Amino acid sequence: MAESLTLADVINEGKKNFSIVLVDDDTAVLDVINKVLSKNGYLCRVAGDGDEALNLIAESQCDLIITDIRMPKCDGLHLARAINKSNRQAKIIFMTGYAKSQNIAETVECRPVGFLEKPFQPQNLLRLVDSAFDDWQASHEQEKYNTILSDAVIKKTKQITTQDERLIAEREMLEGILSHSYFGVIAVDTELTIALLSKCALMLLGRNDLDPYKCYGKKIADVFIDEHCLSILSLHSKVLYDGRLHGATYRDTSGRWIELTAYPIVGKDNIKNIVFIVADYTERRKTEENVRHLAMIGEQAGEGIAMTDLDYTITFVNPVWRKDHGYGIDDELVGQPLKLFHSAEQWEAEILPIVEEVRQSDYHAGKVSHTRGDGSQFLTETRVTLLRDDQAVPCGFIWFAIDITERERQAEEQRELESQMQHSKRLEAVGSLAAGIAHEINTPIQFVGDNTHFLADAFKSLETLIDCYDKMWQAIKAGQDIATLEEQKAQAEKEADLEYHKEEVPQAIEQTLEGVSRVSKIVRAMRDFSHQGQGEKSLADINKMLESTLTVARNELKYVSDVETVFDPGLPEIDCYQSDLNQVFLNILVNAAHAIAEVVGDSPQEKGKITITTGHDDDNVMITIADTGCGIPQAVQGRVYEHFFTTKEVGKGTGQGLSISRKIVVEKHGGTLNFESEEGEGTTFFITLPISSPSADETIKEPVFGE
Amino acid sequence: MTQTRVLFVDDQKNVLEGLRRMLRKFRDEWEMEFVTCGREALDAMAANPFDVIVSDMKMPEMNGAQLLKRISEKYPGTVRIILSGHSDIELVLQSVGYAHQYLAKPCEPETLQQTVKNSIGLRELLACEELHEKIAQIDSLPSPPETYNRLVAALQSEKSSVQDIAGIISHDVGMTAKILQMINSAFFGLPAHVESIRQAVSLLGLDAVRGLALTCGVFEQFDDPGVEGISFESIYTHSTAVGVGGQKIAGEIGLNKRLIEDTMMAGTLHDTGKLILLTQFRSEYCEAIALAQEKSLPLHKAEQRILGVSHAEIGAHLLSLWGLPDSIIETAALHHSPMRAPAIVPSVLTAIYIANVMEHEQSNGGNGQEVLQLDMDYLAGIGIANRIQELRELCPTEIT
Repeated sequence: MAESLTLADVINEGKKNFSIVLVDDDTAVLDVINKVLSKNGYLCRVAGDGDEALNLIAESQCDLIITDIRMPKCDGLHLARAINKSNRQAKIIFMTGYAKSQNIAETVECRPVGFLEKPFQPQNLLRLVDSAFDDWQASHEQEKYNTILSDAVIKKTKQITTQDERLIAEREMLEGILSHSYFGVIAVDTELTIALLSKCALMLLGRNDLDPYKCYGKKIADVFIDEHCLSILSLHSKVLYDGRLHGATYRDTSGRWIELTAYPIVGKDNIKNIVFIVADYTERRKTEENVRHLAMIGEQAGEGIAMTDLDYTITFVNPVWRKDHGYGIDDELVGQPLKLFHSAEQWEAEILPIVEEVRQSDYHAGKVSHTRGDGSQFLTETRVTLLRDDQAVPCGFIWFAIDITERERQAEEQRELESQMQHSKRLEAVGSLAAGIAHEINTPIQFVGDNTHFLADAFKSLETLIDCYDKMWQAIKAGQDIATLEEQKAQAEKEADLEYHKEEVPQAIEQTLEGVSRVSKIVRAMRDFSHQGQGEKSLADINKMLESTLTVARNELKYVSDVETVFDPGLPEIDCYQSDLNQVFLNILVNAAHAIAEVVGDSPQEKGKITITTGHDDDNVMITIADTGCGIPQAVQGRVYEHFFTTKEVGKGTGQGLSISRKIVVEKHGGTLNFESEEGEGTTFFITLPISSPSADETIKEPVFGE
Repeated sequence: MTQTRVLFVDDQKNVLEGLRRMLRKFRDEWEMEFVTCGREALDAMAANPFDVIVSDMKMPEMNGAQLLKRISEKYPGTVRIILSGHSDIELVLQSVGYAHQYLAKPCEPETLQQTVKNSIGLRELLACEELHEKIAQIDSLPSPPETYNRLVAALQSEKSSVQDIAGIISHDVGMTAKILQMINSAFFGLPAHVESIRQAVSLLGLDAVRGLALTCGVFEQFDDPGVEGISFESIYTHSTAVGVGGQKIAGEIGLNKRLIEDTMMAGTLHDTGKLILLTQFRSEYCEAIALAQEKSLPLHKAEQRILGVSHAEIGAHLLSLWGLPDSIIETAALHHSPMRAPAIVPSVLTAIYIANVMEHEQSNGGNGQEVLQLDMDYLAGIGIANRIQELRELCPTEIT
């Protein structure tokens, strides 16, 4: 090469010897590529299909074929196979606009040096062509070595054997493999002396700085660095030991995964040489790892996974799906219709609408019951996703199903427990008052009974008197002297205790009626207190509710406190959970009574006072309950809403009253519950309730505390 | 006949008026006054003490327990009854030392009348007011320390059953009487008839019994006063034996099941008076014992000479104040003189009377007192005079 030429010139000169054939049925594509390549110093010939291309190749040498896959008549794959078959050394680059997986597999069999998916950037093509060119140049170099090698081998062979044409042919084949294989090849004897080494092997094992031929006769350890030496040595000894094929994969310091396969070449009775095939395992390993991860997800996911095609034929089920649906590992489910897991009616009515939805919007999630192999049913939470292929065309569905029977059962239990808890809290509130209420009822019943007994006796006396009057009347009619009867009458009236009865009977009747009405009032209040609007909101008059609560709690309050009510007569009715609010009022009133009893004692000379005030503005109803009790100590004011916090002695309070009250007012009604308290002076509770009640999800969640 | 003076206290005017009207028919028997608070009650008592006070429990200023406590201190002879609409066990426990009986509102006129009547009925038997006052002041009967300690230990143990507790109580005169007082109070709203201590304990509940015993101290331990010739132990042993024997006899003489059950309790309690004498009238009792030995008299006759009444009337009076069932009171009162019973028919009294005499025959030997003799007229009246030998064989010969 002349000194005056630039490096580029030298390369371009080489490029002219590098013969490229472009194949595509689309002339526009041919044009574009041709231009790009020519611009970069390559020479191309073009063909419209595979047959044309083969003709061109037959005409003269061809080093690289860039071909479309889909073409009329002879397509890219045919072309590639024909070339491979004819043992030509032309490299192949595929281009395609239709990269389907199967296609790819077939192209890989043709061992292309590149694969371009249309549309592609010209520089990508250029990069592939450049690298093919580099290889081509390198192999031209290598060919020289090959020739030297083969000469040497041939010479040697000729020294050892007399004439074995077949051996020569084999040697040629070996050379072919050595120079063209993507695998590296190393052959050593039992002493680890290199007998054969391909350039590719040197490259893969990090010694592309060496000339393979110069390594012949050297020891492995003199050529390769430790990490590779160790692997080679280990395999070498294994093969020597048992004469079988051994392999190893490992990651070298550059991060590349290397696969080594070693097998023996056996001479007459013993191993003569050992051949190592070296391969770059990195890409394959990635793919394998991906596949493994996918498999692990499928196998070990905690929920059932199934895939179907667009006709709902099962293409995949994971073990959880099998187990949940009562099928064993051997039951063939792939290929069966998904209908298997649903009744015909359910399929029509429920599943088809779901998949319709998924076809429209790609996704559906909801509760669906599934049928097991034995016909029993279970509830699942099912998510369905539309599967799409490389071209984003729908190709099936993936179904995720979690058995939620147990979860639902637990949730149901939880709900039941909560409702029971709430109910028992209410019963407890009523129960704690029961003794007091019993007293409130027993007392009027006592005097109603007493008066009724008295009235019975009184009537008997009066009846006797009436009989007596009757007799006197008869006597008068018979003409008896009235004067003599006067005395008799007075006597009878005295006996019948007439004056007393005249005075007492009306009072007895009045008090009896009063007692009866007192009992009915208590009974009504109790019913209002605990049963009104249970479980649902209803319009209610807060004043009336406070009256009922006062009646129920009367026995708790009356010995320690006077109660004053200042009710707003224009108080609007509000939509509320009545029995819950009654419980709040009761809690606060009973607390007030206890607080007052702390100050004045159980049977006080002077009672305390509870003042209940109601009022409203445009948005809220306000209730204040003020007592003259002991007050809440500053230190515990922040804790009064804590569950189970109580300062009362054991048996007097469970410490749940205010915590439940706050929940009811704030969370259930969207209101506020606050208090002001001065130790030794008393406590005032302020409740506000919105007149137009918020819906459940609007209710305020943040806590509201008194200072 | 002198009128019984009864004072009613209730803060509810309607209740007082109702009572006043309803009880007007008893105006010949009772002299009644009605007041609305503890202060007025104390004023009325100061003006002229009443025989019986019937008070509400829950009242402002001074509650029933507080009032009765002051009455018991100042006027020990007054019979104290609570009439309340509260069935709160705590209130019962508060007043248990001061109230003789409890009545629950609403209360039938007959019950009220009967209770007042019974509580003062036996008073006429007692010779002197002092005797009555002393008895009315008793709020518990002595139990021997070991029995008391056993009960306390059993009540404190989580493992104790009703059976265990009842087993201890039913062998103790004082505890049996007190438990029956509690169980017979209408306050608890329990069925009128209780067959056995076991049923009583189970009706009251172990918690209530625990409260009564440990907090209220209704059971009292008392060391034996050491009177020669008689001891707590001899009384308990004798009483239990009479109860067991009486129960067998009760079956033989054709009593119904309910009365047979009562017989055991009646036997346990028939000598309650002896316990009272031993603890409250120790010197008089010593005198009586000496007199009995000296004159070879039956003990109860000696008691009568010294005190004017015997342990029989004294015991019956307390049991009556405490509102125990009639059959038990009658047995306690008449177990030496069954002929005085209102009707000469086979009864709990009959069974205990026979068992008592037979038990004395077996155990009473050498203390010089006259051995009791069965009243053959009485037995003939009942028609069992010819079966004495047969009945004698039923009685236990040895009590452990």
